[in-house]
Amino acid sequence: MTSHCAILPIFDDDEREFALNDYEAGMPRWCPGCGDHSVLTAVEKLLVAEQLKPEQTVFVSGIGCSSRFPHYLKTYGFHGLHGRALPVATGVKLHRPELEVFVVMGDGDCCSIGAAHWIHATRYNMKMVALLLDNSIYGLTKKQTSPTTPQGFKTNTQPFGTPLPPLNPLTTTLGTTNVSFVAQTAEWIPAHLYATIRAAYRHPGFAFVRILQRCPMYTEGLYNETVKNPGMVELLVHDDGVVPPEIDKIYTNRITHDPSDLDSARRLAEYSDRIRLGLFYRNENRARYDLLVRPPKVTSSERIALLNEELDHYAI
Amino acid sequence: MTAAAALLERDVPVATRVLTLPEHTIEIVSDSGEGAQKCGQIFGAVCAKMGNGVWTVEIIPAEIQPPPRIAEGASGIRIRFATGPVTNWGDQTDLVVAFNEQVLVGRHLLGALASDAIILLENSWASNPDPDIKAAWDQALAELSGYGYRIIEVPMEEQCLTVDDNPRKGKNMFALGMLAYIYDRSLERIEEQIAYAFRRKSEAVYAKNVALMRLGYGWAAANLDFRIEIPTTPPQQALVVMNGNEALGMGALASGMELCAMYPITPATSVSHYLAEVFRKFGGILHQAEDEIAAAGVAIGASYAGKVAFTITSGPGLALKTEFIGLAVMAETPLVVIDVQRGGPSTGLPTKVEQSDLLAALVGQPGDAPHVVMAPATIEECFHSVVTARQIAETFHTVVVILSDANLSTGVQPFPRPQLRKEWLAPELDLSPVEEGRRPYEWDPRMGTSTRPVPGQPGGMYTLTGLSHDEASKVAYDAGIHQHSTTMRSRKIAVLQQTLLRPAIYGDHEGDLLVVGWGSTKGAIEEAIDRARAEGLHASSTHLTFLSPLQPGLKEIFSRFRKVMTVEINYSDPPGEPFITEENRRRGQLAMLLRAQTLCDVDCWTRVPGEPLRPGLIHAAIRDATIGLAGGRA
Amino acid sequence: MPSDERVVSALSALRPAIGRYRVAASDTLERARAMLAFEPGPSRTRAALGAFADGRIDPERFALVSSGADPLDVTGREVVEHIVELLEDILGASDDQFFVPVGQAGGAAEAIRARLAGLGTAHTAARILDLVKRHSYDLLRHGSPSDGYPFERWTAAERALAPPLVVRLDGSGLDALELAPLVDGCVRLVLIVDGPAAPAPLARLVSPGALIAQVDDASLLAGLAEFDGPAVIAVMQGQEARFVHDPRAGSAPWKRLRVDRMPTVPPRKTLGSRSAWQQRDDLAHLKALVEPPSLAHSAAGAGNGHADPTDRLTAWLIEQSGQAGVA
Ligand SMILES: Cc1ncc(C[n+]2csc(CCOP(=O)(O)OP(=O)(O)O)c2C)c(N)n1
Ligand code: SF4
Ligand SMILES: [Mg+2]
Repeated sequence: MTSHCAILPIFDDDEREFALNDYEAGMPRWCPGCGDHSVLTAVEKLLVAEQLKPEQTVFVSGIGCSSRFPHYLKTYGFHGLHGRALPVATGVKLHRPELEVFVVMGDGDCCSIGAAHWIHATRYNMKMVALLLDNSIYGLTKKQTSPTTPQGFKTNTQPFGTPLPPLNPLTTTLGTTNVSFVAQTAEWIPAHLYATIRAAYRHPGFAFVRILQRCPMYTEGLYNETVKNPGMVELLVHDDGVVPPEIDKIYTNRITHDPSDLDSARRLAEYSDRIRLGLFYRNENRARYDLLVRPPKVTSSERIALLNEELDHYAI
Repeated sequence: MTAAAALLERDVPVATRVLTLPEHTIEIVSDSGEGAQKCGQIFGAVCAKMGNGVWTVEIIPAEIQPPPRIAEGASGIRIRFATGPVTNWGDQTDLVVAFNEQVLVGRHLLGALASDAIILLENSWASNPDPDIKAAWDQALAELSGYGYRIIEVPMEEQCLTVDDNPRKGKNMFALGMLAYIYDRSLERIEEQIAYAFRRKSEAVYAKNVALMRLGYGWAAANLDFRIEIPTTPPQQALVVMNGNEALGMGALASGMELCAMYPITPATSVSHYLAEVFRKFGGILHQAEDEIAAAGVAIGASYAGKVAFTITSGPGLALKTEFIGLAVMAETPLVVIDVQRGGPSTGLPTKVEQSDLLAALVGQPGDAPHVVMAPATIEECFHSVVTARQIAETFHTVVVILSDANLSTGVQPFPRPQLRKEWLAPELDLSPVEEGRRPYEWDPRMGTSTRPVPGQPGGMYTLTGLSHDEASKVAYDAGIHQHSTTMRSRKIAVLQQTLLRPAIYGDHEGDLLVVGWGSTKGAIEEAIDRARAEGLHASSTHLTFLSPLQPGLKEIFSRFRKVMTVEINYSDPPGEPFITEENRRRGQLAMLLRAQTLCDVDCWTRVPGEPLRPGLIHAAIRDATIGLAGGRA
Repeated sequence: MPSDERVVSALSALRPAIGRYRVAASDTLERARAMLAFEPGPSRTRAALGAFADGRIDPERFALVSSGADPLDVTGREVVEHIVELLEDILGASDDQFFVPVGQAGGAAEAIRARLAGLGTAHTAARILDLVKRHSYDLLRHGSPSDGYPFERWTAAERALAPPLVVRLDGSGLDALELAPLVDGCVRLVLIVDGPAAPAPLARLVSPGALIAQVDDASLLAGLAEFDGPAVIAVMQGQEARFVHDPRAGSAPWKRLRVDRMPTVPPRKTLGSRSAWQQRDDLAHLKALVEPPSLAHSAAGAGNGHADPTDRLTAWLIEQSGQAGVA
């Protein structure tokens, strides 16, 4: 077998083992108690568990508290414009399909200023994980109404109470053609958060996860009751769902929901007395824009030859 | 009465007269959908192949489907061809083929027709059973008879019906045949070109079109008493012929860019139509995004992750891309933005030419966002400018805006076939590890330049940010860092400026008047300068290719002329109009820029006619501008 | 020369994978050529800027900004030239280089490894170019690009771009266990089997992420192009079992595996290195894989979620092992 005498080293760049500190960068500058910390922890855990190569991984975000996310990771990052994370992520993934792409957005980011991109990214169904860190408020700009602010909640732009009922990111996403993965989780249930993000990462398509996130600064108390009282939470369970066994004993309200059932997903995603967490919908067979438009690889000589052929059509 | 009889009645000799002329401008005008443009394209291509200089430009009505037989609905094409090179669409049309009298009146009212224009007019309308149509015909002919036009009635429909029973189809090929006879074009080449134009259609379609063309040729031979010869000089080098948008698309292919993100907008869209057909086989992706903002974001995302990407748009789209362009400048992500300008503001004149986006392209981004703006002046330059733009964007990690316009986008002109080079192509991505401790924004302290690793390069991980940042791409909370990084982003543009050469002067290097132009007006300006100089005026011109940074030496060049005046297709207040004073006068956009940059008293002559500037009008403006300047610096 | 119909159709089914390998090799070749051609300076800059820059940009000045990488030294140039030759040979050779005739002589695994090591030159070449670029290539330490690159040393990325091979061998010489170490990355082996073989020699290679099949006809390989993972497929002529194990078909073994035929008579004779008992055991293994477990697993989630812990463990294990196909 070794009649060859190649003594090239076995390069170990694929054999590296990544520990938490290979992903952690800097001290997050979120408020103490901010739910964004837990999301970062869960994502770091995923990176370690999946051993994602830091140089092959890109976190794209918009602008907002939540969008500082990439700065706290030692992967590649793109902290771009308010509302515009998804187009940037689309560009990254279209051009470099081999990269692992994660998108981190706030509720203003995704559901207000970036709403057009949200709808279309859902429909493009390119492989990437989209995390909506939903604190129901504009955090960075200090307590303005967001599309998901509860009706009646007082903010600096609507001091007499938010007049309209909140937009439902789940039903909106589930209502979009070609939707392929929609889940909801809460940052204060780390096992569920982690399991959900992991399932999203493993989904071959656009995996949209709404993460209910506490903002002790501006929406203090919004989830107090829910955090204290697991009875206010209802878990969607199924063999094909996301059901971390660790929380069996605590969260006992359960609805069996087959995540391949879109109609039932849409019904369950409506706001109700209890907060529903789990995998609402997953379909691994949806059309994927990134695969459909992927071009062949072409060498520079081929390019020149092809362009000369093109010029022949226009030659006189 | 047959047309031939009409000719006889006009008392012209039956023997065919052959006029030999250095150039001619023709138009084919019709209701939209009658194929006039196809006829003109084929004719123009054949002229070019035979060795004429050619400029073709489409006549596009403002509405997509205007009602038939209205003056504003004129749709068609103008072809100006000559023994020598042709650089613009010229002034007026010498010969028109009109499919109805109303579109002809439309062209007449726009002043498009030369006073002695020859008109070949479809005459079936004269005997139309509809009394309104008949009346309209009579009225139009009465109106037109007051001018020096020579109107030849042609029974196009009657003739075409002998080949095809749909009278709306086929007149264009009949017209092509008439033109082929008049200008003695090679039938073989015409048929070749018809075959190419209908390459996606059946053999029967080709055969029918050829039969119609030959019918027109035969009719003209039997009935016309004149032919016109525009001597040809067989091309010395291989040529290609295409419009400016195709040239931009091919330039992008030649530059090796692999991703174009866009949102449809006239007159830029046809670049993407072209790319949509071929980009994939070149390994490229044409992404039609959900809006222009997303298109810019996708292009920037791709550029950040690999090779320089580009986006194509027109004015309204450029406005939407503004914030992303600012981000690309801040994060020093290379990006090529092509703006095919149209009339504005707002939805403006979607299909018509204007040069009103200059300032928006230069300084439209809030915050300090220095970047590169350049303008191709010819269709050939549309092709080559993309190669240069990508190279500059990559070298300086900057945004490069290419300003084309609706004149270039639809104009068709032959130019030397580009000799493709591998060096034009974007290099393959280098994903090799980055040396330890290298920071993503290590600005060269003198030049301001820096390069960043791309995702995939081990050891190079960083988070790009649109916030002010230091060399490590860490968000800067320190004003000193902001001062420094802003300086660095500006400095590299100064460095680029130092690599630029002085613009060439057309005409003498000193004199009374220097006309300064940019973009698609070059051919018309230089033709006007030629005419002015032939009259003995001391006028020269220079055409600026780089608008940001400006090419060096302008102040010194300007100082050698008594007067400097820009000619632009954008708005300026004409002096002497009500309320307009020297103080409040709004000037052309380039004039504003040049005044600010050179402190010279740069005047301007600008118009927004919704059509390319005619050399004759520029010539008149030059005459006016030189009145009283007669310095006699011979 | 692969005149055999089966070999020709197998090679054509593998064309996409061959294409991927060739594109990778030609990328490397282009890089090498570019390194040789690269002479920073005004003439290159003038060429790169194109005609639009003529008379408008001073290439000498522009080159001061754009020069970028530095030129090659003498040893660097030599090794890059060597690489260009090697890669030109690989790219110039026909697809026959992806065909390994083994015949009756045996030693299939050996022959396959030797061929992979040779074709691995495309990978070594890329690595050496990186080293040359960083000025850290050392012939003694790193070896020559023509040394051959044993599969054992290939990295995951290189295995993902492995050249596919069509191997023609005698049924008696088909020993799946020898091939097991090659089931990785995007390695594709199509075995054209002559004469009788053990009934289910490939059953032992079945694992959650690998496409393993025994088929009659290489035309069944059409779906192979889209599969992203290792594959070993035997094209057989005798009475052996016929089955397809496709990781894309589901998360449980019985969903992924489709058995189209089992031999009617149980094996009774030793064949090659496999005893009759081993052959029967291969078949038993295949049977066990294709049968769904009797335990009513699906009931677990249907109730209120308090499933039996062992069920949950099973489900979890299945989920874990099933992931490889979801890449
Ligand atoms: C174009 C633009 N408009 C407005 C802003 C100001 N802005 C920054 S973040 C933000 C909202 C943040 O809320 P959200 O997206 O929910 O993120 P959070 O801070 O709550 O995580 C706004 C309005 C901006 N940066 N850019
Ligand atoms: S303001 Fe709210 S969302 Fe922002 S960091 Fe503080 S707690 Fe988190
Ligand atoms: Mg928020």
